Amino acid sequence: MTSTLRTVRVLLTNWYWALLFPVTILLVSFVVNLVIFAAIGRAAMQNSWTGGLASIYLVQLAVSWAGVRQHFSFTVGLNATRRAFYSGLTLVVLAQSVLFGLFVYLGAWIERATDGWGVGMKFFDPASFLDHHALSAMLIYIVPMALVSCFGVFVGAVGKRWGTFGFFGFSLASIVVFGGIAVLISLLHGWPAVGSWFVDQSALSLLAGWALVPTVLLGLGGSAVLRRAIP
Amino acid sequence: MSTVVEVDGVVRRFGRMTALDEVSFSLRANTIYGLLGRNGAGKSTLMQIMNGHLLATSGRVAVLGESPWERAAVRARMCLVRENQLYPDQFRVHHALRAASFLFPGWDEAYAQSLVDDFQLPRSRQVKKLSRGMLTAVGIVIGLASRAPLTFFDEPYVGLDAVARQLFYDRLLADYAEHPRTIVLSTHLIDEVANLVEHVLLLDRGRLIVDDDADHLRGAVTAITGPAAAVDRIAASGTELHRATVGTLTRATLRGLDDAARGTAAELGVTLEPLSLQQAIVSLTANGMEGSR
Amino acid sequence: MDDDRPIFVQIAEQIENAIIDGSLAEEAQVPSTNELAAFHRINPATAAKGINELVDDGILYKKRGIGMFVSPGARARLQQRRRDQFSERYLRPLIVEATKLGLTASELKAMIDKWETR
Repeated sequence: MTSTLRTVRVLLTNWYWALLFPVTILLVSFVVNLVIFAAIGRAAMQNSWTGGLASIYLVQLAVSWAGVRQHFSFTVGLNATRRAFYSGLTLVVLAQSVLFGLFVYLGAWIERATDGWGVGMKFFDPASFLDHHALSAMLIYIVPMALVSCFGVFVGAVGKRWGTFGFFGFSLASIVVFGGIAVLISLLHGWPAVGSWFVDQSALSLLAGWALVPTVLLGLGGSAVLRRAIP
Repeated sequence: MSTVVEVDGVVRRFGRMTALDEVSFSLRANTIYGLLGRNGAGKSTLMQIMNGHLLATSGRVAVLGESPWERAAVRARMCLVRENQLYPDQFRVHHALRAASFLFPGWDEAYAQSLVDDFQLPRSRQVKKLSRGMLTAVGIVIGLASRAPLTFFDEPYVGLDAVARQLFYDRLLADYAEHPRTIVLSTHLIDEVANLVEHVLLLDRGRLIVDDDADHLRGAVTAITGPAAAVDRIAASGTELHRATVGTLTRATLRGLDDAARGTAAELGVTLEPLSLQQAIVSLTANGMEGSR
Repeated sequence: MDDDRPIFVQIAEQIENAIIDGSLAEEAQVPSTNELAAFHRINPATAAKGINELVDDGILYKKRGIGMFVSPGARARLQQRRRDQFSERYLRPLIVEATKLGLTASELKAMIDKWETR
């Protein structure tokens, strides 16, 4: 059994939290939305997308962050290497991304088949992603899930390496970098170009394609940050 | 007996504070070591470096011939149980044990279960809801059941009452007899482990001041009591560590008293008092408390 | 367990005492290292050291695969050794204490006689 597989098993020890918790939250959100939507009625809603889908993405971010925060000290503290821990965690969050992404896809498919759950509610499919080819639609759900997972892991790694000071520094650095980019774009009067570029991109290329870039960067960055963290 | 750990000139600094200062020693296979020292002496730091948690600022550490830093094959044969062991929030006791069973190739599940019964640990209670003593006991169970060829216990007694501590020592010895391994115990409660420990490593403010067989160490420090003049004569033949006087009676704690001096002491009416391992250690540690025994 | 002698010495002495007073007969089996260690709550290596001292002395011998046994003639040998050590171990402190108290040799002898007939 390789060291990575050992840490994967550890991460899945309490498998409810690893594999079911985000789904549970999503289902609760779904039921709540459905009840409210059914009560208020289709006419009252301007845009029939309730936004509740974001819940599973936010939960997954929190779960990934917690994965580092809670398991790193235990696992690496006992006898795992940081490398084995990180690769194990990466495998687990990628598996979660695929699992939850497919779950949402399934929800979207049923939603379409039941014409919005019988009340015209769009919960799982905000922008007709299902119009795409099946595999593309799945990726539209899966890749953003991987993105938030890698972001959560990265934030967790920053916290483990540098503590609260690290979060502060990271936030500051983000503001400086993104703020700097925004200022640059403004100076170059580039906002219209930026705006039209985004509009021109299809949901597929944006969510399933370009989203991979920050995902991979965060994944590599997290590994680099955690390499010197102390359990 | 083969060498399993070599520590050579290890220095560890945290900013301007030197936690370990040129520490060198080696550990043999299948021996129980006591890593002793006051709070802040550097025991935890040393254990963390040996287990690949921290890097030394300078110096070399080799475990089974390699650096323990990020070496999965080496670390798979090691186990460090810390005083402030952290567990994932939602883990219950049985989760913690199952997770540990995945990490240690030599894990003995039956033994782990019998230890859980011995320590009366509630299997389905959340780890974060355990008392301090039970939390320590979980760590002890993991350390013992891991059967890791190199097992480290960092202050494994916090929160444990005397009965539980004795249970730990008994189980440790019993398992060690059947399945020998290298065990390093860091502790303050020296007298309690005096009979377990074969070799003593004593740290004082980051420096290794004693690296000796426990029996030899016990015999190396003596207290002599008698009239001041006689005590002075005997004390001259060893290293004086401590002296106390009441009236005409003087007691001096000495290191390195040879047999000839012992013979002379008897003739001069100076009594020799044996010291327990704890007393010997306290005497040897700089700034041992004045007048304490 | 005392503080004044190494533990392994005390282990050896306890076995010697048992041989001398007859509770451990010649050719009888001695408890194993692990049993002794568990009983006294000491490290097995320490118990082994004590046993090995006795083996080196010829007091015990090892039957491979079975355990340690008391050598024939061990009791007589130990008794003789104790007799040889008797004056140094017991007489000397007696004399030292007696001298402190101002007891003469004849007073001591009278005490010993009285002891016999008490």
